[in-house]
Amino acid sequence: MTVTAASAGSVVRSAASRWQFWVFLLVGVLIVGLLTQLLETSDTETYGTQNTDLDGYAALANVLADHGVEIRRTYSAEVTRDLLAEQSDAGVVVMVRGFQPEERFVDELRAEWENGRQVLWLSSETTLLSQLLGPAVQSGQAIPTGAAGTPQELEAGSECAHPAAEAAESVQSPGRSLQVDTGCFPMEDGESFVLAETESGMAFTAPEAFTNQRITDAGNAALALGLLGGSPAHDDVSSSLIWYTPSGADTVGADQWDSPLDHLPGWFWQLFWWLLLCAGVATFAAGRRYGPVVSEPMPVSVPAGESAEGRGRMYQRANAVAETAQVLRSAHLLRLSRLLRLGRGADPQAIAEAAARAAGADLQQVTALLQQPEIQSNDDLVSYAQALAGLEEEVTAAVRMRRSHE
Amino acid sequence: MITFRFLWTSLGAAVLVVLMPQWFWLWLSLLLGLGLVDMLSCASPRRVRVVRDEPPPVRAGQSIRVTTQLENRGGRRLTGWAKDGWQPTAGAADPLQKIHIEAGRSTLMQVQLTPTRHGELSSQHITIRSLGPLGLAGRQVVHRVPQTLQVLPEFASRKHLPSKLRRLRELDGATAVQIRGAGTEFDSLRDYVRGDDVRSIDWRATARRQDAAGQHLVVRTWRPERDRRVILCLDASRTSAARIGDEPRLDAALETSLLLGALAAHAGDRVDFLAFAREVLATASSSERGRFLNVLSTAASRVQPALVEADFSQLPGEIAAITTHKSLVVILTAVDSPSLHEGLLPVLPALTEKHRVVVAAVRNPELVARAAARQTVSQVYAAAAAERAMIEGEAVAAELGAMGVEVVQAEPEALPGALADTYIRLKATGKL
Repeated sequence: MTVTAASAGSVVRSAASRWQFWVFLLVGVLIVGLLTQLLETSDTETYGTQNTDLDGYAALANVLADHGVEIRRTYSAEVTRDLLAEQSDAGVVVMVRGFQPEERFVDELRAEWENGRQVLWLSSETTLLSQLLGPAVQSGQAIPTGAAGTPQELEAGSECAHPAAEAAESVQSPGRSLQVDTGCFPMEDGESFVLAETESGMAFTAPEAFTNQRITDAGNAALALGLLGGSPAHDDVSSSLIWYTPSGADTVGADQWDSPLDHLPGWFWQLFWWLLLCAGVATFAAGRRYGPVVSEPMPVSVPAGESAEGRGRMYQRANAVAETAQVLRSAHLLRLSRLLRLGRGADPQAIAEAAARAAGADLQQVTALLQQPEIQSNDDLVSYAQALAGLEEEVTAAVRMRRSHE
Repeated sequence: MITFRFLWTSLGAAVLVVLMPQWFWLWLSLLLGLGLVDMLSCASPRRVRVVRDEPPPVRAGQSIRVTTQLENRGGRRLTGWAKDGWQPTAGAADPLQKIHIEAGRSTLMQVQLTPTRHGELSSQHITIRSLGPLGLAGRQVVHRVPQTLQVLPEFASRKHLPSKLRRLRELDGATAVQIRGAGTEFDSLRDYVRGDDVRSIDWRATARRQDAAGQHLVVRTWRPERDRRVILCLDASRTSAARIGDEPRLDAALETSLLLGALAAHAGDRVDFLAFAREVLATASSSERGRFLNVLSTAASRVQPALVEADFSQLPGEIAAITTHKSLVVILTAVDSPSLHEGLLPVLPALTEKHRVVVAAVRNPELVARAAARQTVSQVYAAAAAERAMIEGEAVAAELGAMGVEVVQAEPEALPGALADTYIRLKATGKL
């Protein structure tokens, strides 16, 4: 028996070769995606403790870790509260960036601060801080910057009582300040401070100073280590730091409606996946062709009127009014001379006379029509063409009438 | 492959999923298992032998049933579908058919075709889709066994043939043909009837015919000469691809050659057919075996328009190769084309010197309609362009006429009849 169908093996081989490109493409994309996933730093958050970019805190976090400070990051007040209860001696850093912590939690932190726990507010959002930290705190002016964008270096100041600030002596960073009674790093007006002591804890309003970019400027590093517990004094004790960044996590779920998904019947997801499977089945059942697509080798074919149509468009684009009138005139002269049996190459004047006689029209008008016409515009051309057609129609009718009488 | 029944089954099984969702994986594996078992237990579509017969030629527009034999050489009963892969213009009415073939038996699959285009139409493959006993899934295989159908031109002008033949027969042995001289053959003598040309009275025969009854005038009758040669030259170059109305110029030219060929062959003339573009594309001759109309149709069915310029310079040589005698050379081409000036006109003297040449061309009715429309500015410009094209066509025709060439121009449907009339007129007047 002669084999007329391709064997199963060759079908698989040809399918593999047909899909080869796409398979390679898919594998390539997967590999590239995996590599970028692996190489990418996990933290891209501004002031993030893992962020190694210019705006990150990775350098500071690493030094703190070397000094035995364990940083516990949290994003919700609930978790922070648990950690506070768990670790009574851990310091708290509240990094406020846009999201506001719960008021209840601020009150709790005030109590903690009064009980002697280290609380540090880190934020350049001084307006927000002044609302959070009580009526005694007001938003102060921004740290002035020099001509080249370099921020002014601020001295610790004589009123400063904080050992870390004293040790650091100066800071240099863009940021803002708070108007409070006591603090360190006063501004020029002497009333606002970059490191302010409030009734809820210390507030440092130039968080930019501790970024990977600025940490080595002036006394920034010393201040950071002093504030965050990495100072040599604490070196022997392994302490921990609760690093709380308020986020939307606290508000979600608290005062919200229940998700409609929670009220679905138990079989919903199974049915969903089953119907998805059915959709796949439908695709395959409907998409399977009966054999290859059959093509039709069509013969070439060109509309015959196309060249005449193109020439008409060319006349119009060139505004060839006179030439067009001339063509129409000669065409009608030819047809009229044939109709009136005047023979080839008859004189236009003779044709005009014969036509006027046949149609019973005014000789003057017919002669004017068939002699060189004065055509200036498109409107003239249209009326001229229609007049010619009308004349020919009249002559045809008259000739036909006369011949039927004969 | 899976079928729609598989889809309905899986949709039905959705009820089970709702009732017992904890057994989701069980339902899924049950469904997939059913499909797999069905796919494995169907008869192998690979073990089908396909034998296709060669269908006879058919005219475009006529229907034919082509047969394919499918033999199941496997051990199981084959149930499923077979699809014949005819190209669309073959006009297959039922290419997809349900088949049941017992093991070791064979069946005939008949497909009704109504081709709409002349030429060689083909089906390159037949697809067998075998379904399992449950009809949920199956296997499909493509058998590459070609089948071709020779589709002859439609020959719609066939309807003119009887009337034209009758006119020919009227000529044949007709009453005393007035024109004497070259080109007419003596047929017979008969009695004079009123109306006959007195110049055709044969006085010698009249003298022999005297009897008691009185005077009988005897006239000679003539009949058109037989065994003349007609050479049909079909231009299949780029101008033949131009579409007039619904069909290309070539189709009208093919119809015309078929009618004239059939007519001339019936009249006892020897007909040769020649289709050319750059070179000769097809030939046919009434001296070949078989019915000439079939021979001519088969040759004509192979002609397709080619997008090249026609090479008329070879024409005298090709015609000389066919015959050295005086013949009627009919050239089917386009008269309105400017290329005629470079192509046909230079070689015409060589042809007219020896042969009687007729140029037949399709006139474009679209031009007349366009020349008459004069409502808007664009229409007037288009009308002028159409008039210009018609004037040029007439000029070329006049030029051809001046060279002693007869020009026949008509609209696509009228051309076969017009050319046949010209042929009959030439034959009647003994100008062949």
